[in-house]
Amino acid sequence: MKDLPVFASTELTDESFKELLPHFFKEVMDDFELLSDAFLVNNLNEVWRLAHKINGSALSYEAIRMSSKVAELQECSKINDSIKLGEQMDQLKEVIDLSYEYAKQYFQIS
Amino acid sequence: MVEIGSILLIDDSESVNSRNYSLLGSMKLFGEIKAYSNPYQAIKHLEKDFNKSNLDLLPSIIFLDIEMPEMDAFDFLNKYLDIESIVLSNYKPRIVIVSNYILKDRYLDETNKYKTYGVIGHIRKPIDKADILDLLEENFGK
Repeated sequence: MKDLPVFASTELTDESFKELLPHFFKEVMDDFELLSDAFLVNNLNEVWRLAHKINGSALSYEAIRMSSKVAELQECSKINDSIKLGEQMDQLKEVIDLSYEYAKQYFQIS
Repeated sequence: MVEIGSILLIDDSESVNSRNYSLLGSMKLFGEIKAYSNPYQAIKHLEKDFNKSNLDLLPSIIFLDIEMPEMDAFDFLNKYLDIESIVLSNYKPRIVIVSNYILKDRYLDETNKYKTYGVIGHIRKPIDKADILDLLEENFGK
């Protein structure tokens, strides 16, 4: 998974997306908070739903490493394995943070 | 290519709607673009504009996310098809199903089933300009 680039390209396919990236990260981080809350109360349907939503956003912004990681978490939420799911949550948080730092560096978002 | 009317985007992610709004707007091929993150509000919007009896207000193409928390794309289509005044009218929008993955199983069957009711196809995220141009060529081309 680490071989996947963080974003599909170091150049945005459309320059106007640059203005939208802060909105994208804000929504993803908010959704991740909700996903963490759902995980804590073992609401796996909600974990699946929020993971699906984050995946759709990540795909739309070509954040392919995030998309791949959250897809793994989505699959994991179908089986009741809280230890594995907890590990996936930690890894997703790392990828979200990494993607944000990457976007700040390469796309100069604030 | 014939003139394309307005667009309705329905996706539970506001950032996805913003991105697609920006992409479609930059193509300068469409009229007004509206976006809803709540499918119930989208239905209300369609009904309200239809009741104003101004077909120009209504979208020519609806991009519909397949999986949303309030209802999925097919629940949305069922609710839309329940609005008798619209269904019995001449207003026939083209509907494009948008999903994270290639459609299979139930979603593929349902998409095919709704082709009778205006579903013209399926696009995977991220939507790009080439997808849109292909879609327009197939459905609005001369």
